[in-house]
Amino acid sequence: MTHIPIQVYFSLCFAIYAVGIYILIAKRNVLRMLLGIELMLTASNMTFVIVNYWMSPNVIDPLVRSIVIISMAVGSIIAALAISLTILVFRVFKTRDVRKLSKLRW
Amino acid sequence: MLLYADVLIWLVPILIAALSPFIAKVSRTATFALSIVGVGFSLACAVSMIPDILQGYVMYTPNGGVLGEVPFEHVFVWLNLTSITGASIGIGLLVDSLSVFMANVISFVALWIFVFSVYYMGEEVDIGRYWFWMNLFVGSMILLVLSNNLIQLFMAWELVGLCSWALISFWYKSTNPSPDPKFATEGEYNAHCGFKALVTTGFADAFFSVAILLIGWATWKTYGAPIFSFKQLMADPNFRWVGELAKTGLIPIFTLFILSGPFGKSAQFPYHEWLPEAMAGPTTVSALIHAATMVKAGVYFVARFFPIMLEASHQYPQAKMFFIIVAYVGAFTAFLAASQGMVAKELKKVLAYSTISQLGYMFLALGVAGLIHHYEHAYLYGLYHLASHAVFKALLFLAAGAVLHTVHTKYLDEMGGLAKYMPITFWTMLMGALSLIGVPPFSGAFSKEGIITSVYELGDTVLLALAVITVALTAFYTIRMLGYVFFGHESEHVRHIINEHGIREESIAMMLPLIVLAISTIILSFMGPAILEFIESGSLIHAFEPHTLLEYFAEPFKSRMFYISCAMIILGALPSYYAFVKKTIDVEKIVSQNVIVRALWKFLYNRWYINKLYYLIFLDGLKRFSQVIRKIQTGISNVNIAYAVVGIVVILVLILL
Repeated sequence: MTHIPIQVYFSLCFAIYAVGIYILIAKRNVLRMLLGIELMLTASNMTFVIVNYWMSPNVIDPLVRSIVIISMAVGSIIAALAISLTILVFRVFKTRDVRKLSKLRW
Repeated sequence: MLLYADVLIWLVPILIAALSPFIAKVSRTATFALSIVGVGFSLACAVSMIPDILQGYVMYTPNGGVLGEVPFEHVFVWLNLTSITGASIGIGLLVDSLSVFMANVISFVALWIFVFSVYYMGEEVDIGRYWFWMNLFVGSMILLVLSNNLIQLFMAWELVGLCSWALISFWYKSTNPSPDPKFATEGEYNAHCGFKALVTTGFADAFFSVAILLIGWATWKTYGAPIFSFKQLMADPNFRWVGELAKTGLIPIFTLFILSGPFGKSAQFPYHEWLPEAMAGPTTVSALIHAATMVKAGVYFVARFFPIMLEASHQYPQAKMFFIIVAYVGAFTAFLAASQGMVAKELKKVLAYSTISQLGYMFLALGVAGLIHHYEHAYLYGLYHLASHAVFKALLFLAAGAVLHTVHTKYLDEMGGLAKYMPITFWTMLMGALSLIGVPPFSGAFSKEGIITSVYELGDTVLLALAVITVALTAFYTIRMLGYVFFGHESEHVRHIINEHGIREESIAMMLPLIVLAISTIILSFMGPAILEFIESGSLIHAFEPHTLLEYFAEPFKSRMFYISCAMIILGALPSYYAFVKKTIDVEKIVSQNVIVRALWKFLYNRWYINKLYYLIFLDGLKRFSQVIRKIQTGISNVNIAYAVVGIVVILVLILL
């Protein structure tokens, strides 16, 4: 197996994170925005793992592993909660467009 | 000292405060009784501390051990920061002659105001809330004066401010017509007044807290650990921490910031606008909080901080700025508020302006004390004036409360001719008023005379002129107030009340505090030497010897200033007497015909336009600013996230740079 430099991994994570932010800023659909949040979560979880590999290539750090597992679990809960909220919002406002959900504006 | 009197003195009122809302559900009488017993207990504790100070003497713990000599501190570790800063922040109680003096004044005045409250607040429904805040106030005020360090003092400082807010807007549900057309009901107006007090003092206290942190920073730089205790701040004879501030050029900022707190709490010049509005609360509250005790917290703090700054200013002359600011702001405020008191339309507002003015005298005395060679005279007379003002102003407010309770109006021109219906109120209020003007046998005369003599010794023309002119103004507005309330013909409003159910003196329980306080104003003038000697050296050895008293009473007559201020009193009192008591001069006519007088009247009545300016800057200006700013808030999630990303990037860049 050829050795892939660590920068590639970091760049990949950053790219995924940037895509998530782009989706959050640019997309109007609430469900798409949720997917963007999920992407950002994935990117940060991956960063944890990669940092572990970078610092100590031959050891699986139990701290990192537990953080990532907890993060994934919490992330899925958040996703479930967010989707249910989205459904409720859709039922009330009959729209998925976040730009129309600006009731709290001045 | 009673066992643990220094702890119980503030703990008992606070505990009773916690209980009173629940007890009020069961029995109103029990709430009254418990509160009065609680504050009576505080008074007993405070009095019991006096012998300890006098004997310069030890305190015995239950197992017979000795805690320490007077002034002693009870110190407990509060925040253990040893691993971070090398020291821990303690809390504690400092019992010395100054704090014992303050505790006695507070609990004595509070006791009689509580007794007065029983009938004054007799028809009030929400009695639990009233006693909760009143008891909490007394407890935290005593805690404030007994604090041994700045952090704890600041916490108690904010607590009394909170009580003040809650009690000013006590009648926030009132649906009577508002005195200010900007508000729909009186309740809304009261709530606004409470918030005005809270916001103004809070604004001042923000600077104050920065100054406290500056002390912590300077001591940490110098000694390796932050020091907030008054005693430890005095411990270094070289005051290297002040040197640290001087080295970095922070002394002016530090002085302004540390004085900001006392000026806010004691309603001095830049922050004085909240006190006249604070009269929206019940009169007992005005008497206790906005005349007798809470507004004295600022004076107390300056007096407490005085020795530190005095010693420091010997090493670093720049620190003298502290006293210069205190003296000038005090003198200016005394004049400013007294001039506004001359035209006030409400009975309680006259007293409020007079309170601000008298507080200015106390600050003037403390400031002058730091500037002259022998500081004792001015310093002690400033504190003596604090005590005598606490008593006579509480008396004036309670008498005003009795009047308001009878005639159901707060406007001066709706009163009149009450002297023959309410003789006890009239005579007691007259005694308070004479004390305020500064007529001898009453305590105010001697204390104010001491202050003016000290200013004369300093030889500063501006300060002396302001102090002396204010004497004339004080005499003018006091006589004017009495004339409006008690003399002349009954107004239509009063005649209406007489026809309906007649006007008579309130019950004896309401008159008792008035009589006691009126007698106290005379007793206090005989106690003058005792108070001065007690604060100075913690002893009463010479205070009651005949020649000390004789010297004390003869002292004013030896000074040239006494005759000048007598002349000023007559100068102020005579026109006022003919205009408002005898009614031979028609003031209304003069004001309406003479352009200059009318312009002056308008200028004074609008409080030199300072209040309007503050509203323009801090309310309207802020509103207009936020009208612009709020356009940023679009309510769209995408845009908000974009802002967040921009913020993250900016912070990242700042960190990386």
